[in-house]
Amino acid sequence: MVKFRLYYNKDTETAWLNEMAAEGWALTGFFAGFYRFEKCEKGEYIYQIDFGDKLYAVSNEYRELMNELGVEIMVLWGYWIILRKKAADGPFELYTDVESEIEHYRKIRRMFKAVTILGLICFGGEVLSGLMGNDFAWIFGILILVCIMITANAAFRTDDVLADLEEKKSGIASERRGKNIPALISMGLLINCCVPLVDDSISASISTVIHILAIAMMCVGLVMLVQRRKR
Amino acid sequence: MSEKDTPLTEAFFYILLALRRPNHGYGVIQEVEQLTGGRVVLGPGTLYGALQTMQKREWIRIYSQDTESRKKKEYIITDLGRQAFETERARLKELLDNAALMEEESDG
Repeated sequence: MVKFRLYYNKDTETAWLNEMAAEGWALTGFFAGFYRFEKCEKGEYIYQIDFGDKLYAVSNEYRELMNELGVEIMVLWGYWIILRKKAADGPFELYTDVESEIEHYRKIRRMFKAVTILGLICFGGEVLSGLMGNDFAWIFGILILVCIMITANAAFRTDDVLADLEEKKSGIASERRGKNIPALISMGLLINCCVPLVDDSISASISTVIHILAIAMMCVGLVMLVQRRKR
Repeated sequence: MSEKDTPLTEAFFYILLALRRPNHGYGVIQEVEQLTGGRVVLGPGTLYGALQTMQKREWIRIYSQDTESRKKKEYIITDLGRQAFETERARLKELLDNAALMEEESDG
């Protein structure tokens, strides 16, 4: 059986894989959002998702250690590593202290931030190209913008996870939460301000789309801000 | 691991202790679990990260690596690792000594 899902939150993804395993479906492969499952005993496996240091590869030492501990490496996708262990061999948690968990999520946040910045650079390139009269660039620009929103959101979410962990570690509630206004709001504002400047050189429909997108970004940013404040 | 080397995290402390003699990954987990009466059970990610960090700091090294017989990789503590452990031990001793003050009768 093959299922298509897009996850950018490893915790909900892990929960879903374990739900599937509990129902008798064991993940055996993954490619670009397509998860391949095979029948297994209900609850035969426990799945966990790790974040490695290399793209599409793990060190020999990692492989050997996992092998020794009865953990199977099922999927290598980007930096993500999907692992499983027989449930009969006992509980399976990758990170068992706050310190290593913090380190794990810091690596994840670093990646999301890097991808977001890369996206912003690409977006800038598309905007320039669009201004020079390449209409396709606007379409790519909007696609890239959607990706930026997803990765920025993921980075913010990881921020929250880390704040919770730091709190758990030190016992002191962190003050960072809700301090920084999500970049989405400022980005949306910026786009809304810039578009009128170039209104003459782009068609009306494109400028409408960009305006709607910018407003959507501000709304998402606002919702995120309110959510962060609430907790 | 954080930038600071001390105090050691519980995981680091017990892994160093378990590597006072050559030991492999699963052996370390078992010994730590035994020593702490099942309170500290190291997860694979925590153990791997700690082994990597401590090798970088040269606190431990690979003791044997027999690729042909597919023998499990063993690690052992280094002199630098023993130093780090002793520093932590001195800190813990200070804590314990001072903790004894609690038992003193209060003078009212």
